[in-house]
Amino acid sequence: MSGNLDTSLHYFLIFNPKLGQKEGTEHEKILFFYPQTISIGDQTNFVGLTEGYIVCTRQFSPEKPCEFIHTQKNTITILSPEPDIWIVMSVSNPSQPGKDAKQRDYVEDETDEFILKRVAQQVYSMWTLFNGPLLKLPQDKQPINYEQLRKRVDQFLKPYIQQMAFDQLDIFNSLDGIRFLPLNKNVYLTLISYVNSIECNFQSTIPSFKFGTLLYKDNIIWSSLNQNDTRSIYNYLTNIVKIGSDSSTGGTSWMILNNNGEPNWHTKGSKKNGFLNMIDLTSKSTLPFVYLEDKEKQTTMIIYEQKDTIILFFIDPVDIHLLKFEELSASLVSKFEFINPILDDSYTKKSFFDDQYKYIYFNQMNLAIRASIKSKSPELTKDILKILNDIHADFETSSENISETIIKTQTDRWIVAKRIDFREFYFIFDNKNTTLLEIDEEVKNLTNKYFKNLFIE
Amino acid sequence: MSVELAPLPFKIEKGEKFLSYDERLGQVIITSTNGIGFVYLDDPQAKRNYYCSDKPIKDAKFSPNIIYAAIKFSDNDIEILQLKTGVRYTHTCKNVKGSVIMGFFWTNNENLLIITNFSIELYQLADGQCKLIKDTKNLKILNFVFSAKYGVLLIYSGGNQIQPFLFRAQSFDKIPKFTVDSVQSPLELTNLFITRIHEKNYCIYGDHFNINIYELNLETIYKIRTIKLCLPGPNSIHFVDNLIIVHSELKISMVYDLKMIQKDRDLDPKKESVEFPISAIPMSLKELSNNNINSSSGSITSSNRDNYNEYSNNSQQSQQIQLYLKDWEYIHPHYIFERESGNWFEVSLNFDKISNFLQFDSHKIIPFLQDRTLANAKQALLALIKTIIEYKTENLEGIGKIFDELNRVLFQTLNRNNTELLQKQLSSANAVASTTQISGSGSSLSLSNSAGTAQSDKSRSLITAPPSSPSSPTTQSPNKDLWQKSSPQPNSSKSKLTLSNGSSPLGGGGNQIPHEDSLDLSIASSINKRSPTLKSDHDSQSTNNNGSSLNLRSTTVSRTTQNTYKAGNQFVPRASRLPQYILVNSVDMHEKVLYPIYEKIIIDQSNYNNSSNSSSHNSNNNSNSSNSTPTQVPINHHHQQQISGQREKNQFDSKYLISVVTEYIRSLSFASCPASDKLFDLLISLFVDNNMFSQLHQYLQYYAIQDSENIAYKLLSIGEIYPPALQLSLDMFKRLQKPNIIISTLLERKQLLPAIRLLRSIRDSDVEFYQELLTPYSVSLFLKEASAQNNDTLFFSVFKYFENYNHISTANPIFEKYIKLFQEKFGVTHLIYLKKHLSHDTNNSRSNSPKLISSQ
Repeated sequence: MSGNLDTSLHYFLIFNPKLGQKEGTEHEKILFFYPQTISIGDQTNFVGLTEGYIVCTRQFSPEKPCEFIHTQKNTITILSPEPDIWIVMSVSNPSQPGKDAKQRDYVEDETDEFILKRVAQQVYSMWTLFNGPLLKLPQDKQPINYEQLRKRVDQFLKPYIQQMAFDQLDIFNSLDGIRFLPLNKNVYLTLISYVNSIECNFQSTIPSFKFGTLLYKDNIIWSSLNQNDTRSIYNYLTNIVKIGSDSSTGGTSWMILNNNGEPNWHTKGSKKNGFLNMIDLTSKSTLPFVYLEDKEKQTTMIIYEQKDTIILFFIDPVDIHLLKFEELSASLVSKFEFINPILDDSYTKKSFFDDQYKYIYFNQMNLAIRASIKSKSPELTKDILKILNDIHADFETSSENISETIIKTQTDRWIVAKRIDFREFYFIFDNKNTTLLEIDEEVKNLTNKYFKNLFIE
Repeated sequence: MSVELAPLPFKIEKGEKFLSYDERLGQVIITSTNGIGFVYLDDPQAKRNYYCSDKPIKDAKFSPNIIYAAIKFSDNDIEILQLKTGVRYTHTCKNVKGSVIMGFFWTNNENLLIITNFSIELYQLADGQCKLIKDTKNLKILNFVFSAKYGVLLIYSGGNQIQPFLFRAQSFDKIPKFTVDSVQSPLELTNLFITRIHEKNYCIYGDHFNINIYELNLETIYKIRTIKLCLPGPNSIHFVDNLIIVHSELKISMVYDLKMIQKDRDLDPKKESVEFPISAIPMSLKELSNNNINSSSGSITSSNRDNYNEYSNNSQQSQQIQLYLKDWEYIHPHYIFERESGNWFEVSLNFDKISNFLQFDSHKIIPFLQDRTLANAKQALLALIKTIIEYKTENLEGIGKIFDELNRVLFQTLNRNNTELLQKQLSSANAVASTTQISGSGSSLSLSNSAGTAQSDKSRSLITAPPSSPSSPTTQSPNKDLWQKSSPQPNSSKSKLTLSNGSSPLGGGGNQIPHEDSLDLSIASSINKRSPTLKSDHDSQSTNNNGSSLNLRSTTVSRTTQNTYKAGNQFVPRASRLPQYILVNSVDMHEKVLYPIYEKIIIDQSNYNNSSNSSSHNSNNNSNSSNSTPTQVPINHHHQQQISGQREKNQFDSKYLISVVTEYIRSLSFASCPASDKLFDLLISLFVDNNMFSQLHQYLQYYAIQDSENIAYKLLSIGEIYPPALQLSLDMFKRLQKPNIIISTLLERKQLLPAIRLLRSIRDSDVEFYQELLTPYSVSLFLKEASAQNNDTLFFSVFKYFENYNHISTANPIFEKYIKLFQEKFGVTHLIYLKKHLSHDTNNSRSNSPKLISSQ
């Protein structure tokens, strides 16, 4: 080991403490472990260690179990998304060679715990989106076939975790917001009218047919799902299917059902215009199931792409044979063909404000995020990212109800962050040699000017 | 749909003789031993206006301004009587020997037309003289038809040819002859009519087989169509609401729509068959149910009673009145005079069940109904739209197109009316008089089309509590006082008049559109409503409207039939008013279509809940545990399935209704028509009922739900079940420029510092408003909240803020306990500004109190 090492995944673990109760069978508790390069003995040790953490910290906080553990080398987040299921994600802290050749210096506070928590949650919600709750699956068949579950989790999560870049996580990951396409009211109403009329038309013959979500590239226009489902679907579409990104970047994959009816990652280049998650119009059996709302009933998800407009539909798997895909695609083409240029216009149009300022705006109430700086952009240097993360953590956790933070960085930039009633603003100013008062005035002016429709005093 | 006969209040009494009906003035001219008189046919009191004459009268005509009367005593003499002064003189026709006066008419207030068997002569009345200004001689006139309303004279000299003349002020022009296609010869001129259908003038000639239609323009007359009757035989023709009605001898009345026939023919020009009428059934007697006006909407029992009453009325009257009598005289355009009894009837149309006749082709019915001017067509149209939505006979796209068409017409009319009003406004010397006229005509001009009309009147008081119940968000609205004088509260009453008239002052939008305020009023009264009558009580009202003469938001409830008489007891006949095609605005659509459907879903839902409750109660009894809580009762599987099925159905219906309402809002928005806030209210209710908060949020995010105070209050009340709605509500109040409401909301939620921050920013931007806002009472509210929170730092900060800006006075007892509290907590040394006053005050009473407070 030499040179500087960035944040990377140490291990990802899912276990059920109720299993493997007998001595010597502890490894049975493990439902999923990544990477497999770690020996089974070490894997079992990690489980034991986590159980230890949980039991130990429960003494101090019986209501809320331990969420984060910071060690010299690792930052660990623990999540229990459903009873008897624990997800543990351990990330190696960045390090560099120390003075002593045998020792390495670890940067212990570099990794933001909120980001990790969010990532672990995302992994879980991706699983439930396509598979339902973890323990739901084996319970269908009595007795629980854990062997099968382990196989499926491995099949599903391994490729997903493999493609995640742990060294590139930033504030956008922790906010996990949804970008909405800014649209004129009339265009918006027209689109909703299209969507409604398609839904109504097909519902008259297939009552279970439902419209789900409408996107243009990676911006949402309208979603009929609840917020959490919308977020999961949005994650899937933007991070995995990578809608809206250049097809040249590759790595596009989507979820389809294999011959056994199990969800499988499918990577076969990019495909535009048409039903995304179908090999062809005749193979309806590859359409994946998703679990929405109460996560109990599975419905089939149909994704259609028409020149960067992405439309999701849901239908009861029993009714899938009734749906005429050609008819659906024909009605979509006729409706969306001419509105595409308008959407493209709205998408590419940068407001004066976006040009002028570096900012991130996030509204927790509808998860809407707007930003003039892009994730992974050079603007966001390490120290800036760290400050943003810290401020966000303060907003989230501080008991003092912090509503405003102003920071001058070592490189003479100003970062102003405000949190007003579930809305978060982050502004980054490059103007050196300005005073605190001037910056405060500037922020006041720009909020008055550009956010005058919102009550954010 | 059927042809209806409505008895008119006027009746020719014994001793009276019917002379003629003046279509232009809408008056029946009668004579008796008293002299000559006239009665406006649509005058509910049928008031007779008699003018004395001692000679036996052959015929008489009144000038349009009722200043002169022309009276014929003999074949050659016409006496002209100045009605007010009684001055009269006789004009004798000095024509060729043997000439006889066949007819005479006032072409305008000063021009008298005399038609003899040889000539037509036009006279100018001036200085008590009759001066010939134009004549045409050497004609052979067998018969003629004259329409004063359209200024057309048709001369018949035998054969099949008709010679038309067009009249204008001081003159007339001859235009080329035209030939009437008819197997009958000579022509029956009683079957020749001049009328206007959809803004075009026509000559219409009917015989036993056909109706021939000739279009008339300034230069020529030409045939455009023949309607081949499906029931040949003797008939009489009437014109009602741009439709041709043929009363057949077979006691059937057929309705033809020229527009629809032309459309059909355009599609299939070769078709030469018999034309099927829209309706062909015997006419019926109109139900004279006055309880239409009084009945309240909605309740099933009352409508049942109405039906019963109507039925009994109907049967009573049909016993008294017989239809299609031999002695009926069919008076152009749509009256019937029963010679024997002297009774008068108006022929009208009932558009109910119209779909029976047009095979429910909404693409035909809706344009047809839109082309009507009668109020009950609007009712039929709304009922039809409701049926289409409820039974999904059209898909959503089709419904959207119907909305688009309605709103297109609405927008055009709105714009035209606004332009006309603006012109009137500009040309009128007396601004007040003209605005009352404008409001009297049923339309009001508001320069802002948006619903946010309430913005202009910032009611600047901080003491406003948000509404406690979501159902009546307006009741505590802060500008209530402003509106109390001029308009009713929207939710205060369920009566029809209130609902339709008073709905929009707060939300704006609704009454900016001229519309028949209540559909259930009789035709006459609803047309009267559009009359440009000057109303004495309108002056005070327009001054109430914030002094802005253009901003007429109030249409009063009191505007009923009686109002027509207010202007000096002068009855204004319908004939002098312009007909207006029916318009459907967002208030109508909400009240008559969308809300009733919503109500039905709610009733279904609650019925179902009740039945499921009662059944669970039964099972409760069976298990002998009637005292246990019903929530724990096991419900059998079948029943559970039923419930979930019903819930799904309701959700399905609700979602469909959301789509329909959205479609309507889209259509309104595209047509730039104002949308009533009730639509948005309904939409929000639907979202909330179905837990579709995420969707609601998205609608608000994209401003698909328009800002209005009612909606902002509604969101505020939803905040309890969906917290983000609070944020949205405050955003909306900010856009509506109601910081006072935001502050009181924040105070209520104990968010003192944000409230003070807002105050501070108001101080920076609008000092005047700031001072109005901060009454001692409102300051004390801040202090009260601050002291109640057990947070000394907070109390200190709040107190110091108000102290620093001189809002706390020792003089006002309201602050006494807070000053005392502050002293107790932090000591008098921190009272930098008040310290002086405190010591001072004890000696010197209240002379030094700050300016702001002293004014209170």
